[in-house]
Amino acid sequence: MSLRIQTLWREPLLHFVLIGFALFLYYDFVGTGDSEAPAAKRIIVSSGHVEQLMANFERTWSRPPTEQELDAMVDSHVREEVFYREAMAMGLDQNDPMVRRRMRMKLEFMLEDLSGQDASDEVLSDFLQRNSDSFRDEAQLTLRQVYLNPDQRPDLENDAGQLLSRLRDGSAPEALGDHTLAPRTYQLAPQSEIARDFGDEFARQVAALPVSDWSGPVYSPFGAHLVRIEARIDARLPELAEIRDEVLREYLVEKREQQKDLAYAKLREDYEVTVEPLNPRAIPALSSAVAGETR
Amino acid sequence: MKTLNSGLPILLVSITVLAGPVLAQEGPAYEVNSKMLSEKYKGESYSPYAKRDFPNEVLWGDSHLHTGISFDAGTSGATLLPEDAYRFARGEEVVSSYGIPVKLSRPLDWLAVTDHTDNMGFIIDLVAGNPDILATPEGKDWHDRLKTASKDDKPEIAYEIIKALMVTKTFPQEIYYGPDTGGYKSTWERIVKAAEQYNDPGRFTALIGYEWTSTLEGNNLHRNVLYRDGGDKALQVMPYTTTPPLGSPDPMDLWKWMARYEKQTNGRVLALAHNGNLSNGLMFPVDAQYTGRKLDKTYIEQRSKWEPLYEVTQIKGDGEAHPFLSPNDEFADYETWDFGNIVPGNKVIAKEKQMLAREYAREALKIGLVHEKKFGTNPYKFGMVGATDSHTALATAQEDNFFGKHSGYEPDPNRMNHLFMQSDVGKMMSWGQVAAGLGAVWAKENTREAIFDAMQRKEVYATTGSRIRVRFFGGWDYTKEDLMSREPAFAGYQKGVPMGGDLKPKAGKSAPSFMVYALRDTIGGNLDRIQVVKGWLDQNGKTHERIYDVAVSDGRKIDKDGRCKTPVGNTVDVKTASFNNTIGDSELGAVWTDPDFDPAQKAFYYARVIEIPTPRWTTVDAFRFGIPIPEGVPVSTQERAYTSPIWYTPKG
Repeated sequence: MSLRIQTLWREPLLHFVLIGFALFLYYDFVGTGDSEAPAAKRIIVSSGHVEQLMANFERTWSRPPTEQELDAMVDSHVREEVFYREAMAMGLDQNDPMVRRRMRMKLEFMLEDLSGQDASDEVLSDFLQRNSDSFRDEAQLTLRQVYLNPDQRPDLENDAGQLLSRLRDGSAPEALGDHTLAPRTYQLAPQSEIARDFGDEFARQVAALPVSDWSGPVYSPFGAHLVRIEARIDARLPELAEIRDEVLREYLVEKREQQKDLAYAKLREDYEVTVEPLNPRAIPALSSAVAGETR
Repeated sequence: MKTLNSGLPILLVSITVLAGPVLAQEGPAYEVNSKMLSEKYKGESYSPYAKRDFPNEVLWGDSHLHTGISFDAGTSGATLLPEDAYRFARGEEVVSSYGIPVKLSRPLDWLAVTDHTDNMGFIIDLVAGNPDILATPEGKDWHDRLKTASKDDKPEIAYEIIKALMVTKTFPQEIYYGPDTGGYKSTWERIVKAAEQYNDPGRFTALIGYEWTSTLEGNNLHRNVLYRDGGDKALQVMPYTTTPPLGSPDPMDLWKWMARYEKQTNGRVLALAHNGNLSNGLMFPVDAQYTGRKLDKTYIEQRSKWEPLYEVTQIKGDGEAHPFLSPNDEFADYETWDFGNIVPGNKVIAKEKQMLAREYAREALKIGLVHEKKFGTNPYKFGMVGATDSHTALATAQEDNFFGKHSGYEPDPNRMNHLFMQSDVGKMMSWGQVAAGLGAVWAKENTREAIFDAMQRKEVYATTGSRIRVRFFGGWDYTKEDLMSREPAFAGYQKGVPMGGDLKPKAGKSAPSFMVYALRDTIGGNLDRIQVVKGWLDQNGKTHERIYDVAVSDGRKIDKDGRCKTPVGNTVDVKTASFNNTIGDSELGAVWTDPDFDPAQKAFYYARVIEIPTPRWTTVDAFRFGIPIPEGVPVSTQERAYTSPIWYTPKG
């Protein structure tokens, strides 16, 4: 994918096409034709262009223009076109910072316009596969947990072992363990919901447990938990058709980023850049250590 | 893996018998008896798995975030846009405006991008060098200077532009982006489009919103407007500004706009104000509005109708309580910003003590009772949320992941030592920024509608950045068994009302009881205590407040006067910016009955949950950059949650 864009970018033909297209825009869709030079001094206002003028008017005024108004718009357009061509012929566009900036803006817009065009199902499927982690539907779990409070149990592991065998022997879980205000049951809850209540690590470990009898202990920031997974829907990667809009959105984000980088790299080639060495009052490097709770 | 903490058992007030240590061999630590079960599941399915018909999800979000589209954010260097803000909130890693990779510790569940509407979109075009803007001398000057300005200088230019727009009124009209201009309209379309793109019902909610930024001579009357609706409706009416003739700085005009929007689109919107602390006495009027207009039924009723919430804590200071107003509250002086107002251009108008009573939430809740007595409606009957008000497109409220008020305050070794604001009498440095806050919403599902509706019924609470899980119910007959049951929320909803509600009236002299419980943030500090804050109106029309400690950690004692005077301690190691959960409890809860209840008095009650001390962001910065902490900066902070109140109104 990205290789293709790179090669494309180096392609002189593309540059030619882009510049041609920019010029085409400048002629404002007037049908002068590709082969005919402006020197022919002929202005044709196409019916398409008149429709566009009408549409513009309607967007502003919420009604179609009257015949008079339309005539005035066409006149004004022709006047502008005449001046524009004469000005171009005189080279007035040269070295004008505003014209240059405008050109740049137009080109940038065009680059953005290009971005969605190759988003075929094949391209998007490929993108989906490469980024499967971000599109996967989470695992959902139905579970029960019995809590052991470390503050109340000096020998937590031993207690956990004993409780576990009682649970496996069929004791009712409602009557076992310590009191907690955290949820004791989940009904087909996504893994992230469990993570929200008990932390990432707990949720990850619990999601990896098989559907079966009681197991554990699994530890959370609150203490130890004996857990029984009663049902589970495995994480799955949806088909493209189910999430096409979402995939397209993320694909375009990535592509815009790539294009920005490529466009910059291309421009950057023309510059020789010197970075002066750091002054003595150098900024200390970011420490890799992370502050937080000591465990 | 040893992730456990030592410490003492959870203290459930007045039920210490049940909370004592019990060994597994001797049987269960607590028993469920048949009475509890039958009570719990009355009218419900017996099965604890059956779908619950009450809000069971607490959804974390930010109702106040600016992106590069806001003119002050963009000028200060923010380049990230609403799309980036939503991606970041959903938990993705993005690169900040100044090039630092950043990611949230955990995703948010919802976010409202709320850019300033005045001159909305102007800054993007100014930075990009839009020819029409460059054609004006001011536009050209700002553009040229912004292009070369350093990270530190950019905010100065931002202040200058804001000042031209809002104070000196010298902003060139021909380049002003008002609601009738193409620039404004396309910017609003862009904001709405981003929300539509990232709204993902069930997983992530992107609320549509904006900030209406009324800044009267520097006095902050800002409101955020949030939509229940999608883009189809939000695009029908351009959002409101404060600049005449199309906008107005008077909140009463904003409410008219809201009514108009709802009428025209059949949609729903609500507004929430913030930073009364920067309003220099204008946020919660007692007698008259800033215009001199006396408060009347119209103002009182409209405010009550359109502003069900208040943003009580955020980067520019905590607004729950002030030590001057609450001298007996040792926790009131929390991240206090009482320096002055917020005149753009750095030099602010200093605060006078008499202004404070009209600036803070607790006091406003009290004033509301007075108004209610006089007008029959309580204009300040609001729920509470926290928000960031970040101008970076990054909703960072966590102390160890704080990216500053605006992009000029992204992490770097100098960011604590800037002059932030000054008045004639003093100055404030940038270390005063607060890494806060979050809005917690109790909802049945993660959708625009469910979140908006929870906000409307005030079943929401604020935190200063920690994800403390809090339930708060008020009724007449909660028992300790309710709290000890498998799912206390069953009894919570069955016997009373949740936070944000009104106590149902009851004959007789008995006092209301409140069930409150909290679990700590799974990656945060343990809990120090839960308090109930009560405010009431006496027979002489005077207001009062009182704080009760209702659950405290580590077996500490609550005295007869309802307070625990032993501090929880502090484990923060400044050198390594770390702390230890060897003090505090991971969960606390209580059923508390008001010992001073008078059925003839209007009252409100809300819960405040306080964490043990953890390192403040400045301490984290000092550790990571290897720099000293500036003098006078607190090294640790006690994060907290404020629930929406529950109100009591006497019959008749």
